[in-house]
Amino acid sequence: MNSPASKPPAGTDTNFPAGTDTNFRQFGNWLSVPAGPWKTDFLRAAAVVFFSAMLALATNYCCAYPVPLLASDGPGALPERAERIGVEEFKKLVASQKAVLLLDVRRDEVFNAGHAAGSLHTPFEDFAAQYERLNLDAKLQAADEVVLICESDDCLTADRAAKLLKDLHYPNVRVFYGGWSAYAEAGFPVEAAGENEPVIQSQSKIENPMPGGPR
Amino acid sequence: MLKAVLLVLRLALGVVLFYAGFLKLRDGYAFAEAIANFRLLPAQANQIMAVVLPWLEVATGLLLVFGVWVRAAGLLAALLFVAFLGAIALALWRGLDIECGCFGTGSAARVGLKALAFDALWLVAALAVLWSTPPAVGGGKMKDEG
Repeated sequence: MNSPASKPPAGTDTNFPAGTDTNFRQFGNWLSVPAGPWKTDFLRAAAVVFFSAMLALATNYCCAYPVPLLASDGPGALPERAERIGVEEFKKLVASQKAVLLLDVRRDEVFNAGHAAGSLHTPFEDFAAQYERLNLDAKLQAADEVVLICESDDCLTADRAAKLLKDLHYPNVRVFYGGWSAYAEAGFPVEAAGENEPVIQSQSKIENPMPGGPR
Repeated sequence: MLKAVLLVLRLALGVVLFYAGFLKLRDGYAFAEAIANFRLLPAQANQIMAVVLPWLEVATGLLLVFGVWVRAAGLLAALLFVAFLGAIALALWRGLDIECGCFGTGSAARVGLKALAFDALWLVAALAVLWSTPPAVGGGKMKDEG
């Protein structure tokens, strides 16, 4: 439609000397910025955002653990930071013969790959179900200290679980500082799914093996 | 030569965005927590972002790799990296020691100068792609040039 002799399309700068690429606006000799309509590109960008959002919503609700988008206390909320217990303090606690209950709030797959020996699996997403199934109330009542383990210290799930337990009036709930990575690194006894004996124990590092072990 | 460099930049930018988005898709829950740790937005915004952002990165990455709607994708990539840079810079300024979440959670990457420099480099790449791509003339009737 546009023969070389015909009028250039609207939006094209006609003040350039012949032979200049009119798709670019020259600023001096070195900087050229694309000229022409941006409207199309903005509309396309908006379309990409829209379709990504639609796809995101559709896939979110099809999955095992949908993110509650509009919940004010969902994973996007910053919970109150629970009291932490560090490696040294945990060693002392274990050595003190107190009844320690270890609760692991991580997902199935990471828990199964390795977890603290004797810890109970209470993934936060179905905490209520686990509470019933594991008869957690009795175990929590019997424990002197409850220690929660999540993946790392950035994992807010442990803080959320600690708050839940405090709200349910279980005192002495603390979160293991640094989470599972710090726990495993410190050389405490660990085990994998379906085993009761430690599998990746680094004995040399363990100064105070847990007497009796946490239940 | 310049064309080849720009092509490589565009492909690399696309692959990085696609990969980063793909890794975030694995665990929206944990990613929402990672965003919450930045202490920038309310819970609901963090959650919506945790769900939408990975798909937006994947879509932008794919468009860049396949050379479709390159200027629109370049625009989105630049905006994404500006947002990431801002979030990381603010976290650093406030002295937060948190997980970056740049390539999903559990990668152990922390917010720091490395992440800042990484994002700045990709922002430059996105701007280079954006500025080197001619516009779609005539409301998209013309095929985009890669």
